[in-house]
Amino acid sequence: MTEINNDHKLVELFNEGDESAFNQLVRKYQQRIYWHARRMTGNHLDADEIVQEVLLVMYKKLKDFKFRSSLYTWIYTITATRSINLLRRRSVKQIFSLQDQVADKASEDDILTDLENKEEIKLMEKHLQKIPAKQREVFILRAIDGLSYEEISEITGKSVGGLKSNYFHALKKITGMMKYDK
Amino acid sequence: MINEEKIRKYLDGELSGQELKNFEEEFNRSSSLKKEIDDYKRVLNQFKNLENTKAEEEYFLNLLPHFRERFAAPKRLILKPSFAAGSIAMILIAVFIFFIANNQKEVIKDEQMTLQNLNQDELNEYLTDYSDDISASQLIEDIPEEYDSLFNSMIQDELIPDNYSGDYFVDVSSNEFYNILDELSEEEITGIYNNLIKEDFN
Repeated sequence: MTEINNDHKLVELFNEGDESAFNQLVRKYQQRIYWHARRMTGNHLDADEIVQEVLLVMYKKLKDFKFRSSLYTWIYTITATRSINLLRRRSVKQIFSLQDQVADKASEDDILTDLENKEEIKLMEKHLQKIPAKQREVFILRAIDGLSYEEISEITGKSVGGLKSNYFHALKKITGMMKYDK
Repeated sequence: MINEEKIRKYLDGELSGQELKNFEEEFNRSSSLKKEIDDYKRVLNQFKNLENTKAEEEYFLNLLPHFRERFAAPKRLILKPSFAAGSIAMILIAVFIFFIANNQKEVIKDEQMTLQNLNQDELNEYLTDYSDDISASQLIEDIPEEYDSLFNSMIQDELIPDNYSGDYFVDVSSNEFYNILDELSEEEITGIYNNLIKEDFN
């Protein structure tokens, strides 16, 4: 409850012209935005591009936000939409290019500091990239971010039944891939 | 038989009461089911741990200043190489066409200006040079059609003195003859007529 009230207050202050309120909102949600984008795209550079886009949308559209949903599902919706859009653009580019851009970008400018688990994390990110984007989206929101199916439905606009099915298909595929890694 | 939906429900914690009890009984009986469920749980735990992934704090500290910087910066026009090359080519073609059209007008204008500024001698010299540039065929083209055959016979007589007939009207057709008569005055026609009746054709 506290979080929702805080969000209300921060949005209100920002809409009254308090720029520091926006800064607080960004600091509060930046990690969620970044990691969702990173898991969806599989690399830091694309995730960074998405974060900047999401912040821009937040900055411009917060005045229209009426709290019909919670602020974090609204931010997730923007992030998820931007991630899917970027993946679509990337697919189109890949059709016209022989290069594997994902593999190229994955090694560039990585900000992971967890050296001990870096390889394992990279491997999991790689497996995520091998499943369809819609299944990946549900899997990330459910298995990693721990959102309920109702919340995911609010973010993606999909039925709860369809989401459950997508989630289990994703889990099965990833489990199958990880068996080969042993 | 345990279907996938049951497994998902179990993993999501959606089974309860008798349903959960039945599932656990099945689970304990079947080693393959147990292994399958264990695999799913292991994978889910691994992915749940991604939540704690550590990344450079500096990146997150700079995220907002970076956004502010980009947001405040005026939008730069970024031209793609192919678009730039295409635009340059279009501009060059447009300039070339404009130059050609304009240059032709300028040449005619310059020529007119030059002729106006010539004195009589210079003008004569220009006309002589100009006439040298004109071929005989161009001169003939300027002569009205009805005089063509008359003109040709005159040239032939001039060029071949032995064949000189002494009468330029030999090759003139009746139409051309009437045209010439039309241009004569009444007195000239009467004079010709009087000479003709006096002439002995035999």
